[in-house]
Amino acid sequence: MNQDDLNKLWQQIDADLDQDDDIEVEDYLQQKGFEHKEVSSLKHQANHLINNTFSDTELSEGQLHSKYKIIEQIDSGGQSDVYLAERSDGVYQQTVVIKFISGRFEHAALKQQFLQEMQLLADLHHPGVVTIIDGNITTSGRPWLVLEYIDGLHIDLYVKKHQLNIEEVVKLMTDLCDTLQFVHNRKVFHKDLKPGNVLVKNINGVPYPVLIDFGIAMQQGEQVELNFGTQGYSAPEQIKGQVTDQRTDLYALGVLFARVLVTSTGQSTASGVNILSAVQKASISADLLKVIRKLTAEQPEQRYQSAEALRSDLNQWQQGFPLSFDNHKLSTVLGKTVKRHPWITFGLFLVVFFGVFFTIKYTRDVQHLQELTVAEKNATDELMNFMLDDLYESLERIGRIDVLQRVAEKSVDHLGKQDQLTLDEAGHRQAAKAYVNTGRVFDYLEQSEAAQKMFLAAERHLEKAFLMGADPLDYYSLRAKLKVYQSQVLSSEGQEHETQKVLEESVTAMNELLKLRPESSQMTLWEASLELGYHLMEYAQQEQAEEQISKTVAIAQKQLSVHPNDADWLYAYSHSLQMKAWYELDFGQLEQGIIDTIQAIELAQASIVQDNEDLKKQNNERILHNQLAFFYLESQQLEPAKSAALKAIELGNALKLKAPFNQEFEREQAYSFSTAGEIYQQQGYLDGALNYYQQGLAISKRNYEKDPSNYSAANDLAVDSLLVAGLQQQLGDQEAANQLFVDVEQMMEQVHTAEPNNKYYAHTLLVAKLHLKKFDEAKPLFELAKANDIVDGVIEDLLKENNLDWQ
Amino acid sequence: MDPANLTQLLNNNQSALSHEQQHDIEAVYQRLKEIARTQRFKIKGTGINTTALVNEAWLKSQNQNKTFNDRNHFFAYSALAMRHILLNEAKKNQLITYVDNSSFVEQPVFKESNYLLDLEKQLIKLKAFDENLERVFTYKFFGDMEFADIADVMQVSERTVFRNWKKARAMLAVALK
Repeated sequence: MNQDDLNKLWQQIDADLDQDDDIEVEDYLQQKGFEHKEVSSLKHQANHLINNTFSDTELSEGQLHSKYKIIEQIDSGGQSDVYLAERSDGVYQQTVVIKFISGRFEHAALKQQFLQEMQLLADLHHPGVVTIIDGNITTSGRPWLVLEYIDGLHIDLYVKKHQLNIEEVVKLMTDLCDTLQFVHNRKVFHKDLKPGNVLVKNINGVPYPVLIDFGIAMQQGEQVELNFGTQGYSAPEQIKGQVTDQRTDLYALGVLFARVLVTSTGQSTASGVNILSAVQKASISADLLKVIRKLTAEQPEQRYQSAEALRSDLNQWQQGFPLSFDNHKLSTVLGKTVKRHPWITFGLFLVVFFGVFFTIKYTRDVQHLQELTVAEKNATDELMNFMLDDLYESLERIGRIDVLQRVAEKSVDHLGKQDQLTLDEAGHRQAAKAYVNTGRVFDYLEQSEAAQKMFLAAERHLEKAFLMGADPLDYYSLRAKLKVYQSQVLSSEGQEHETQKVLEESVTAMNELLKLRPESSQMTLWEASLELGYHLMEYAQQEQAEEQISKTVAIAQKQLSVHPNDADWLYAYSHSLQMKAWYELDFGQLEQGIIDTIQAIELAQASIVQDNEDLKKQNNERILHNQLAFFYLESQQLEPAKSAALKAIELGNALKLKAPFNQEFEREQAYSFSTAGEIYQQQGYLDGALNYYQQGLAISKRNYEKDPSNYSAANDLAVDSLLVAGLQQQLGDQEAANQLFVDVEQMMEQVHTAEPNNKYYAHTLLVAKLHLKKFDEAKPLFELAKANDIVDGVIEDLLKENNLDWQ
Repeated sequence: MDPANLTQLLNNNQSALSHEQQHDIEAVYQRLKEIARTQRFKIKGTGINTTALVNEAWLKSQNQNKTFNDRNHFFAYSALAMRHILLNEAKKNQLITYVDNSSFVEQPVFKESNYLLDLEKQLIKLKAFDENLERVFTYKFFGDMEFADIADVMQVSERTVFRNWKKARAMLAVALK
């Protein structure tokens, strides 16, 4: 309400009450229908505030009053009121802190207990624990303590003010561990660790953390309210009011550590920020993140069991040794070993530097690059594992996983030599990861069989690790990914039921993971969903596919709204729409398919803007242009089709420069050529068409020769061959055409026998047989195509040409 | 302390108290706190009764240094002091929330502080609208004075005070919503 409105309202009230001053205020406001807030009495509206304001009541009492002079109140809250004071009894000149604890101890037994607790704390002589100077219970039953005054800042403020780096923060944490261990050894637990209860003072110029504010009140038994610690810092068992011990303190220490680390990276730690997720995003070493995760594990058994154990890991970290939980992790051990030995580090640095440098410079000398990458001198199996693990992602981004081929091969060799019986949980987990990475490399190189073998081995190790007690978060996350990878090699071998099964397993694993930790990335879930959508489509499960596609689109859309402008989710959304468009093409909504493809292209371009180094995203844009060209062609819009196809070829040429040996990219380039050829053919430019077809065919042939067991590569080759043959026929070269038809028939006969339900393979074979005039054999294939609703113009023309009345 | 002085004080903008006035308010504050201290033991657990507080402060001032000659003016002064004390306390609490954790926001003390700060804003507007309404409200709400005593301090009829109290409450109630 603005001032004018308010004044008018007040004038009305003024006039109304002048007329009738007997009416009760409440009744009056009700009658008039004015919205209002209660204004009753001060006692009613500000009871707590009044009590707080006037409640420092014991300060003048006896013993206290004569000894200490209050300077100012420095804190007040639910648990206690705290004052800065000076000792003023003429004995010492000393600044102290006086703390009144909430709650009263009127029974002799309780008083006795409090005094005992106080004695316990008073016995804790440690530079890291605030000293208790004095304390008692007032005659009115209020306990109070006099504590040493620590001239220092709260640890988070200290870190911020002095801009401590991560090493210095870790040093403070090791000091805190010492103190906590000392305290815990005496069976005293702090139970309210947080930055506000750790002051950092300077001892001879060296910062040293001091614990203050031990939760005394809560140890008093049932009559006193339980101490639930501080929100955000309390361990689950503390919140639930269950038994607490040193591990409860370690949980809080984990949160505190996270907060201080985030502070040290200069990020905001405002209240309300979930510090445990904030720290994951901060640029903090993976090991420290693991330490924090272990400290803040839900179950006390999964945490560090003592401050000593934590200190030991922090010391290891300081010196660059592996931490307790990854003693068996080769990559970590190796990585750290390397870190400790500067010469090897230098060597490794050179290897990685040259590897990436030359790769990015698009060197064509792959042999040379491989030698640099693998680094003959250090080519131990461990190094390869390490590289498989760390370099895969970076190389994938630049489309050069092929450089990992030799590493992958040697890694297999190494893994095969492992003694299964000596592996423990961490060993199995590490082996599983190594097999997964190796499998991915093989898959990328289109060596499906080898990849599948790797994935099966990975699964065996992963299950063993789980049985031996691996962290379920690690387990489900890796299992979900593994299953998606597995589905990708299965589908290239075209195994219908198996693919669906592994993808459903992946979804199940992701659901378990999200149950355990709802904030986990849903990327794998999306991938599984996408693969499942394509799979159902490929095997003509119309309704299931439609449902699956909407699910996939929904996941990406939802995540994109949660993470706007996230390059990966933009990519995922684009990809989801691409699939939707294919579905629309397959089931007769071509125009909608074109609209969705165009939207997918826009999203793809947005994802490239966010992340312009990832070739996968650039390839995506190219694929979408291919798709658009094909869709336009289907709807007989030849000019837009042509410009989309030429754009795809242009993008493909750029990609070929960046990643000349990438087979997947090449295959896609072959599609572009076929589509362009078909467009030219329809426009009547037969020479131009033949030129494009032959370029496409050459690529398909290369790809098929590299991986003959890959049925989809075979199908690609067959389709391209049919195109060239058709054109040769048109140009009058019947002999060359016939030879190609025979080749296609032979190749696809095998594929179809292995995969009788795949409608695309069947379609290809049908076209070949019709060209070869093998009508009896073609008939059942035609029925299959008809059932799957993929009888297209090519088939119809062939039927007409041969006077067949099958329709 | 004479009535003129008090009137002047009440006429002043709240934030612009002179040094002497601040000193006087502090004196009342200290007295109120001292009384509260002893009173707390009598009525343990139920909190502070502000009326009893001011009454007792009056009695004590009579017994001790007799700064105030007129009981009603003492009460009026105490009401103003109470308003200041609580406002200061409320401001301090609001500052705490800028630097401290979020859980404090949920506490009744913080909610009450916010309420009082809002009320203070509206009181300043009310004073601009009609100074008498604001004075009656302050005496009654913060000092819990009898209407007859307020009438005496303000030198108007008791009925006028009563009507003004109603007006002020109604106006603040709609302004605070």
